[in-house]
Formats: sequence, structure tokens, C-alpha cells
Amino acid sequence: MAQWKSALPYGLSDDMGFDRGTSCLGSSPRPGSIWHAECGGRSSFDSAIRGLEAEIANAGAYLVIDGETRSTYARLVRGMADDLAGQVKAGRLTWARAAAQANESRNAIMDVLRSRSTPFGRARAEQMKAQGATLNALIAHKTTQLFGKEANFPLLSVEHQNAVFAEIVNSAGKSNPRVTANLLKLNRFGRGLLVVSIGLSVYTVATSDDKLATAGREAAVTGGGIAGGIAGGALAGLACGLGAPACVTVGAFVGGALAAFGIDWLW
Amino acid sequence: MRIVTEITVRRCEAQQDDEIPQCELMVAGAATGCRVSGAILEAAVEAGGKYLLFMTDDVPFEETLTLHLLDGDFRLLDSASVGRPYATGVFSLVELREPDELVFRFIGEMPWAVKLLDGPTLRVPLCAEAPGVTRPFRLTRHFVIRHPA
Repeated sequence: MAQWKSALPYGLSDDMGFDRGTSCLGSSPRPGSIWHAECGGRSSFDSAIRGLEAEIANAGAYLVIDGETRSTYARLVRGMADDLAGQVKAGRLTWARAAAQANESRNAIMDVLRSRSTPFGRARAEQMKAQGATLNALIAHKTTQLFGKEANFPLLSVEHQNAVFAEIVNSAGKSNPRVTANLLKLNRFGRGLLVVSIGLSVYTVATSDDKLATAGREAAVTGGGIAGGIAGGALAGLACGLGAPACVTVGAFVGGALAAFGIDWLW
Repeated sequence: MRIVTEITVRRCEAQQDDEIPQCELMVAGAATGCRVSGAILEAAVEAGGKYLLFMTDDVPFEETLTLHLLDGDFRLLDSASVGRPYATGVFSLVELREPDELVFRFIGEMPWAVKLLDGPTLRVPLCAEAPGVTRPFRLTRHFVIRHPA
């Protein structure tokens, strides 16, 4: 390469001269990005970004699923308790029968909703052995609460016994507000993560040359990352046994990453 | 250490089922102005001029036990909760181990122990000291909850 220079540096000469360059025979760089796919740099970077997007979506999906499960749980137990109380008031059930039914239904709903949580949510819940409340324990607890430590349930009047049963039915409709508040906070955080992941995907599609192909790839990698995360968490739960949230977290992360990178590589 | 019977709680009114219950502490029937979270006072223990309260939320199918440590003027020093989603427990105080440890049962098959510390000690936030134990975001703690050896 050769070029005219108006002046040599450092005032070595006042005359205009012909700069003969460095004598390098290498080709000039082509126009455009200096980061070429053939170097492996750009494609690896893009793949890592897609993996990150998939992991963000994976974490977001976990939090959203557990939050939605919690909302369903709170709605179901409240509906069940209100329905039983309504049946007693309509004369179709006694308070004693309603309390027994509330206890059975509540424990059944708890088991079903645990199984509908994500592997992480299930592992956290199962970290301590599940203890369904027994009807006798509830009767003793509520008798003490309503009528004092000296009260003896069999010696109570029918009216007072019914008050104990009614309180058990009402309790069966309550979900713990601390747990619900925490899971709803995490649900909102999870939605935020999903928005970030979608935002990154939209940016990637918008700045790509082949928008249709990029959109398909983004959807496949992100969807695969979420599915891989759920599968990885479930497999880790099976491998580590009940109640191992740390193991399940690692499994979900590894599963999500493997699925995302695998799909990206195959695409 | 001794079990305190003169402390009672009064449930704060106008609370919905989806709100964390709050109570005001009463000493010998007189209001202290101290509000703590929880609905039922299961036990209160005095140790070294401080009071440790064990409170539940009155949700028997999914109970949480909250421990509050108060100084002699009923100022809240530290709190921690024990519980898990979709799991429940029944509280019982098992043993007072002099000079500074209490053993209780709540959730799970193993007993729990709470050890009172001489003063605030550093803790790493977000790291649970035992599975199922949660605390507000703070860098110090005045007691430790664990499963006894």
C-alpha cells in the first residue's frame, strides 16, 4: 500500500514526500465487521448469548410455574372450604362431617399441588417430610384455642363442638400468607426474567439478516432450554432423592444449558 | 432461663386472610406497643434479660413458626421463621438447656434447637442456617436455629 502524505512527522522534512508504507504484502481487510464467522469467534459468542437467553427463560419459567401453582392452591382450598360451609348451612352436611371432609380434601389438594410444582418447588417442599394434619390433632388444637387449655372436647356442648368443627373448616381454606407472598414476589421476578429473555430474542431477530430463520432458531433454543431445564431438574430429583433442592437446581441449570447448546448446534 | 406466662398477645384487627398476621405484645394485660408478626403465641422464654417468643400464624394446614427475640424493653432484636410450602407442623417446647439453648419440635421428624448468642454476630444473607429456616435480609443475627447433635 502506498499513499501521499502532506508532511512527515516530527518536522524531519518540509518537502511533500511519497510514503512507501511498511512493505507488507498482506491483503487489506474487507469492508464490514472485523469479527468473521470463519474465526469461530462470532458464532461462539452468538451461541453463548442464545444459551444465556435460554437459561434466563429457564429460571423465569421455574418461578412463574411455582407462582401460578400457588395461586391455584390458594383458590382451590378457599373454594373447597366455602363450599363445605355452604353445604352445612344448606343442611346437607353436619359440621363434624364437613370438618372431616375438609381435612381429607386439604391434604389431598396439598399433595396434588406439590406434584404440579416445578422440580425445584417440589424438592423444597419435600425437604422436610410431609406431615398432613390429623383431624384429632386439629380438634385438640382448636379446642384449646377457642376454649382454653383446660377444655376437653368430648365434654363440650354440641354447640361448642360445632364451633370447633366450623373453625377447622375455615382453617382448611387458609393458605399461609408468608408463603404466598414470597412465591408471588418470585413469580413477578420470574416474569421479569422472561421479559428480559424475550427482549434479547427480539433484539437478535431485529438485527439479523435472515429474520425468519433467526426467529425460528431463537424460539427453538429458548423453548428447548426451558424444557431441558424442567427435564434436568426432574432427573436430578430422581437421582438425588426426595428433598434435594441444591441438586435439582444444578440439574435444571445443566439440563437447560445442554438442551439450548444442543439445539443451537443442530440448527 | 424460664418459661414466661405473663406475656400474652392481642391480634391486630382488620386483617385479611392473605395478610401476614400481626399481634401486639401485652405484659400482665398491659399493652407494650410492640408489634410482631404471628397470630398465636405458642411459648415465651426469658433468658438473660431477653425474651424469645415462639409464634405461629394460625394456618394449621400449612403452619409457619416464627421466633422473635426481644430485649428487656420489648424492642425487636432478631426474627427467623421455620416452615415450608405445602407442609405443616405442630409446635412443642421440649427442653430448656442452660445456659442458652432451647430444644423444640415443629416440622419434620428431627427436633430443632435455638441457641442464643451473647450479642449480634455476622451472618451471610440468603444462606439458610438449616433447611426451612428463613430470615429477613440482615447481616447479623442474635440466635442460631439448627438441628441439635
